[in-house]
Amino acid sequence: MRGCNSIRKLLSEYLENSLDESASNAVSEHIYNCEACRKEYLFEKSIRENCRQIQDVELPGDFCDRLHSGLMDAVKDIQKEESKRRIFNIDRKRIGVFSSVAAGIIIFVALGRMTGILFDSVLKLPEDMNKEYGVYEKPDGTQEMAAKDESDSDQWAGTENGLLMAASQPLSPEEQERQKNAPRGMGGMDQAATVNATGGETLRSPDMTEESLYSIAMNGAEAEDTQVYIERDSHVLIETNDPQTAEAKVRNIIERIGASISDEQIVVPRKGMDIFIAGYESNDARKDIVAVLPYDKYQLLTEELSSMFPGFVNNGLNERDLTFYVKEREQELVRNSERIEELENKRVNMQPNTDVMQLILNEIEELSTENNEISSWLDTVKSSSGKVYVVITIEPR
Amino acid sequence: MPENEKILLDRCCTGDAAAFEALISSYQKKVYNIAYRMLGNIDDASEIAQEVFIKIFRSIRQFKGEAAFSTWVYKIAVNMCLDELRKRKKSRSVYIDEAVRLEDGEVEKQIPGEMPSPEEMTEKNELRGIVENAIKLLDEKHRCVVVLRDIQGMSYEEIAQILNCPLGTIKSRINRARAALRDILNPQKELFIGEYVK
Repeated sequence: MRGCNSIRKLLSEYLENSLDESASNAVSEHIYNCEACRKEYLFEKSIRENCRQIQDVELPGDFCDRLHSGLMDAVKDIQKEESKRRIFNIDRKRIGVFSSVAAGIIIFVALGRMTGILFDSVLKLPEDMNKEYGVYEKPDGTQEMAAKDESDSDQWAGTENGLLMAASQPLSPEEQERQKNAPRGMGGMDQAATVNATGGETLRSPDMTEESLYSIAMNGAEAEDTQVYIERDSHVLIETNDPQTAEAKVRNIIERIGASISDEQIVVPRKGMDIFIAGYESNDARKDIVAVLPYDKYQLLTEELSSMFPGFVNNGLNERDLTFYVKEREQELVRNSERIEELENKRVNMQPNTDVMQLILNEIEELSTENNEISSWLDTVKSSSGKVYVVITIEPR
Repeated sequence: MPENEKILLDRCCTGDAAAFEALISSYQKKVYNIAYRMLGNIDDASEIAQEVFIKIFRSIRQFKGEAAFSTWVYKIAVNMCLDELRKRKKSRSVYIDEAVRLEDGEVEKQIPGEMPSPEEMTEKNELRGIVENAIKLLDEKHRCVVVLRDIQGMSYEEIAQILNCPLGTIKSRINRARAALRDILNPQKELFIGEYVK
């Protein structure tokens, strides 16, 4: 004979007819005999029926017209982008060094929420960075880095991501001097296309001028160059008129510091996947990327950003904050993983008592974080190497 | 996927807005209603629903057909609503107790979704109103599953796909959401039971 508590837990499924016959009979019998449980049943039933009776509201009268006009704008934007792509494809052939350019853009990169995750795959730095991303001597004597898959002949022919866009023509002696003095990244490839944060002076390559003219023609405003900040709450903010290049660079950095990238629609970190491009491109000016990186790579990330984007400003996590986050998160994860392990053992031992299992699963889920669903989290905890990882989110504002 | 939907989808991939409008015509109302129930007011719902469809149009080539098109549409809609709620949470937490300045003086800002008194709610159709208000008081995670399951009548499997969660997680979340709803409605319990024992 089941008690009132256990019967009440089954009422929800009873109302959905999803209990097996014996459990269903037990509930029927119990609520027939027990007035208190019968009241609970009627209460639950009434709520459910009232939910079902909530009627859909009609679309606003102007909904379709507004949507139509929004779609027309989107079509124009898409055509514009495609036309740019075509033009730049021709330019590439002609000049050989153009990357594609998109409209005036801000990409927000949010090192978001600092959600720690235990991943069972340990992210590794490439054993030999120069082997993976070789440093090449340019014709003018400066060094440049190229992605590993590029053939030698293509390394100077302009890459799809535009990394080499500024490297096609020899720089003036003044510009060479400036580049020597400015902070340099793995390749220092951004020098000619970047506003120097300290001096506020714009350095442009001959290609950039033409590119900017194109951008002005397309957008009716003077193009701005790339500037990167990390702000207080760990948002990496990239302002750029060239999102494709900026995105390529961010991807490049993230890969280089030890993660891979995968395009996904939904931002739910899962075991074995390091970075998610969430695809929230509700306009051209933003893109969401979720990347999962170890805390200990944060420093490396800032160094990479700093070298890749001269003028980079880091107002984000300092060493003390980082230590605090790491410690706090580690402790929390240890506490949670111990508790989860304990609960998991209980759950395993108690099968097939579904009620108890359910309670335990509920508690486990409460221990999980908002953006980190329990199943993946449990998986990762159970087989974890014990490393603590952080989620980087590039999200819209 | 139905053949006609597939044809429209192919045309959408070439940037055909008319095909897109035809394709999404049967989803507009549902997306709008999901947004309305999630966000609690029609203006925000309308705004988000517009954004949802524009986003879908722009990213339609990313639809790989792994799940039903409808599921993909609702997944984007639900995610954008959750994003919006998260944004609101961040910005509102500062202003929740702030008084509102009107031309004729200062009044206390009302917390949205406040429950009507039991006396005000006696008729059956008003019970629906009580439930609607109670749903607004649920936290976003719980509200989401109640809207999808108990209002929109979606299956557990579809909700699991939309929220990208295992079925077991969805089931337990729905159970907890219903328990939370019961807790909110508990003071008016007799009204609900009264429906059956008149």
